[in-house]
Amino acid sequence: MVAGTFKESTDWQGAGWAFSVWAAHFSALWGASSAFPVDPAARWIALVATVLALAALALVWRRRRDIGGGFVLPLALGLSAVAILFGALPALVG
Amino acid sequence: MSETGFDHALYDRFPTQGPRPEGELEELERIWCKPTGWQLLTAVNNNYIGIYYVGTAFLFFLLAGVLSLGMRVQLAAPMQEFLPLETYNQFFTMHGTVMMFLFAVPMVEAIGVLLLPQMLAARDLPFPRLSAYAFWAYFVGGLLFFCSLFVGLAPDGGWFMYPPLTSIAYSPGINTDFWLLGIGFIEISAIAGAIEIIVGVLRTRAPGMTLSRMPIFAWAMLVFAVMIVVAFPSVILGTLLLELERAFNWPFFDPTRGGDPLLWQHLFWFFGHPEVYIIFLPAAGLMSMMVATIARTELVGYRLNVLAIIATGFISFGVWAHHMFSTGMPRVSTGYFSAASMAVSLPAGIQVFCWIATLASGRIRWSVPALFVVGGLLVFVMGGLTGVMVGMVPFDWQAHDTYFIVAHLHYVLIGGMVLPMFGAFYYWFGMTSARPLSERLGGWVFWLIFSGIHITFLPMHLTGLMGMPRRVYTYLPDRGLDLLNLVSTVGAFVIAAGVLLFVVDLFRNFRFSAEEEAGNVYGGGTLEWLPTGLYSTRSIPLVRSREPLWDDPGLARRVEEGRYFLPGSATGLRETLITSPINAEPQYLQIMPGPSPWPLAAAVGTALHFLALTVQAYGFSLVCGLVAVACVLRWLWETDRPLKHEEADVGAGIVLPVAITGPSSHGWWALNTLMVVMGMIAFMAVFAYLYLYGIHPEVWIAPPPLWQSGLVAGLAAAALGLAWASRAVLARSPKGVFPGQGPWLLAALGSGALAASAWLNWTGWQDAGLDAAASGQGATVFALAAFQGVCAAIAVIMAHYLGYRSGRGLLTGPANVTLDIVVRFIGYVALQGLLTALVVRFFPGG
Repeated sequence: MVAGTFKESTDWQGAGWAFSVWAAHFSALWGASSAFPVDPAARWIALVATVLALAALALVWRRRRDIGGGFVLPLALGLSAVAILFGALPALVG
Repeated sequence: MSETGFDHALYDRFPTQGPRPEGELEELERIWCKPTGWQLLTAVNNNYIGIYYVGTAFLFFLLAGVLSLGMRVQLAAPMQEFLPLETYNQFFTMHGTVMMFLFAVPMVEAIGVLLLPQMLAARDLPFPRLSAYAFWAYFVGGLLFFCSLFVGLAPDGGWFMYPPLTSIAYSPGINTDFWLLGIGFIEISAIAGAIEIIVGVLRTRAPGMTLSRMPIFAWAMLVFAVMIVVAFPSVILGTLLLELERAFNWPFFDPTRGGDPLLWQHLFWFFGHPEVYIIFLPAAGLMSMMVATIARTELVGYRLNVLAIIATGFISFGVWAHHMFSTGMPRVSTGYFSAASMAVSLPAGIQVFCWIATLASGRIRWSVPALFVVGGLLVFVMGGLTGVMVGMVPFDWQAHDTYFIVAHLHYVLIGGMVLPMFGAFYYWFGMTSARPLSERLGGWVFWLIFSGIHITFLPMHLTGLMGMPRRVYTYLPDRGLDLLNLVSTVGAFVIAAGVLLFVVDLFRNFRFSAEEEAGNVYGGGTLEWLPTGLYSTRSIPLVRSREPLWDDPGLARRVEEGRYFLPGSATGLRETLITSPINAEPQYLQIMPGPSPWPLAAAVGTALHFLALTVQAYGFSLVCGLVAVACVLRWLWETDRPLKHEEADVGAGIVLPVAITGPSSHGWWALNTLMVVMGMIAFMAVFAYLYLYGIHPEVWIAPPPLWQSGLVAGLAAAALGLAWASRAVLARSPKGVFPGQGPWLLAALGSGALAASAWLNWTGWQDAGLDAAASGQGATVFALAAFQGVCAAIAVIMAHYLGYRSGRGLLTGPANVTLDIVVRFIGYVALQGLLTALVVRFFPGG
């Protein structure tokens, strides 16, 4: 039960940003692999996008960690980071 | 800290003390009176529209189920002749189409319309007439679409309608057109419902119901509606493009002229796979609500569950091409989609573990909803496991288009949506009926359906792995398939027996009531179990927890005594409280429209417009379209009138404004959501353009000259400026004073500039030698230009409607809702035109 206060205590907006970074990363990877299906450029773009996405997640954490709200933001960032790394694997081994 | 400036100390005034004024409740009952006779057709409040909606969706479930029985009889033995080949093709196409488009999505939307206002303790959803329009459009359009089966004109190309099979060369009849125009139209109805739900969940929650106190079903419906807004434009665009190809020979999907049939698959599955989660998430929300009540404890991991719902919503948009593994996509691309397909099982798994943990930590009271919840969980997990299997590319190559996939998708959809739906029927039946459903018969219903599912679909895994392809109307004997198919057919009839028993129970016990309902049979703790009338709850409570009825047993009595917000009608009209999106702080009082025949008339006009297009009766179609537009304008005419009250006491001496304009208003939110829909259509059209360029760059020609592009862009920019000026002129007018004809004339000039820009865009490409029927470039460029033209035409109609209102003195300063909507729409269309025109003129061919 949540009681007592009438102020939202969870950073749902931060969680939304975390997943948006994943979505942007996925779009970049797929776009590159479609535009350059047999060109190594697609793999390089994937690597750069992955680094940028992880940096963006770090930025979200830095900007919003003070808002508080328990485990939701760290978990969202963690889930997003795992999905980003897992999603980038095919660029390395595919 | 307050989100809106509302002083939280004012909440201490609740519950109020002392006697309530005499006649307060009676006035509320008079304002929200019960419709009788023909008035039932004009009712707009959620109790009626919700029931109509649920009933119609269930009817389509039964009809599609009958089709599946026909198919199973045909397949019960090899070389059967129960259904001819053509009829079988129509049956499986209609079964899939009706289940996905006319049953699953409308059913969850219907349950949302029915439950959400009571769950959020709102008087109604914020746009009741839009709900009514969405329902009637779906009802009329859906029935007309289904009737195509009785005249042999039902679509027969599969529920995904892949070209080239569905191109005019291979499907010359109008069967395919029925699907394309019928489904495209019904999706518009789904989007209307989604806009209603987004604004309803974010803006009409009871005060104090912060996001983390929202019932989890409301979270699920919010994510569901956002997903509809993002995903459905893709299939609407796809159906329009395929219809344009069939009607006017524009080669979007014809590879000999620079098109590509795989473009259809991308557009379709960008909608089609999120569709699975669009169906599953609301049902998961229902499961989460029921699990807590069944286990008689709070849901374990509420925030985790919400996070999983949001994560599922996002990741489900990265899995669409796993339906296309066997089309020869680049290898790395298939890897990305395979990874995302497996990643999406993570949030789904979180939800499942939350449910199991809740059941394990509570004291389960076995009832029919409990059976359906546990059964649904089991079946869904089985379907999810085979989902991970087909997410692996090599396995998918083997299983693709076999009965293994049929088994997988039925396990997922039945476990993830159908069984929770039946559980929800039993659980929430007492909210709308004077008598509950029978627990004894319900047990039989569950066991028949549950066992029938396994008897039917478990053998299909084997028939699939043994090589039996989907969508074939018969098979040869002595291939080891005979017995397995016979067992599946028996299972289908076992399911049918369970559903039939449910229908019998329904007829025995359903007695619609909004006042004397059976009530909280299973002991739920959320607000929908407060005593209600057609006005929803007598007063709107202050929410302090997630299960207020469990935590505060006296709440129901105090709500019924009128001790909270809006204990009566503050203005003598239908109204509800609009609250802020995060903390649910009271912001203003919304005046709600009452019953009206115009949503029904507009829906019939729209349905006939699309039907007439299907049979190429273009004149009649135009008339019906104009009738629909006139009906919509007529229903809007009664809204946004000068008000007697500028402020009202909403309870305990708290005074709020009555209806406002600008970013805090619910209309602003709805228009923004509509703009997202339009933006997604434009975005997907640009994607189609770029995709075809990537496939066939050799057919691309040079764009119109630079000066012509400058003219198109300049006119769009002028429209943007005129729209801004229109609002600025009105803002200078004192409160309640008529500003003259200036504001609407500026808006009209802006819409004219839009129309001129669209016209020049079109003719510029024609002069550059581009032919819509000659190449993929021509088809996509002119499709984008046509879309922009339609948007500009709507802007012109809106500006003239504004002028008519201005002529009647209904447009007063310094801000006006209608003007605000019209000029923001013009501004949006101008920006859209500017961006799309410049992209296709300068990139990538330029």
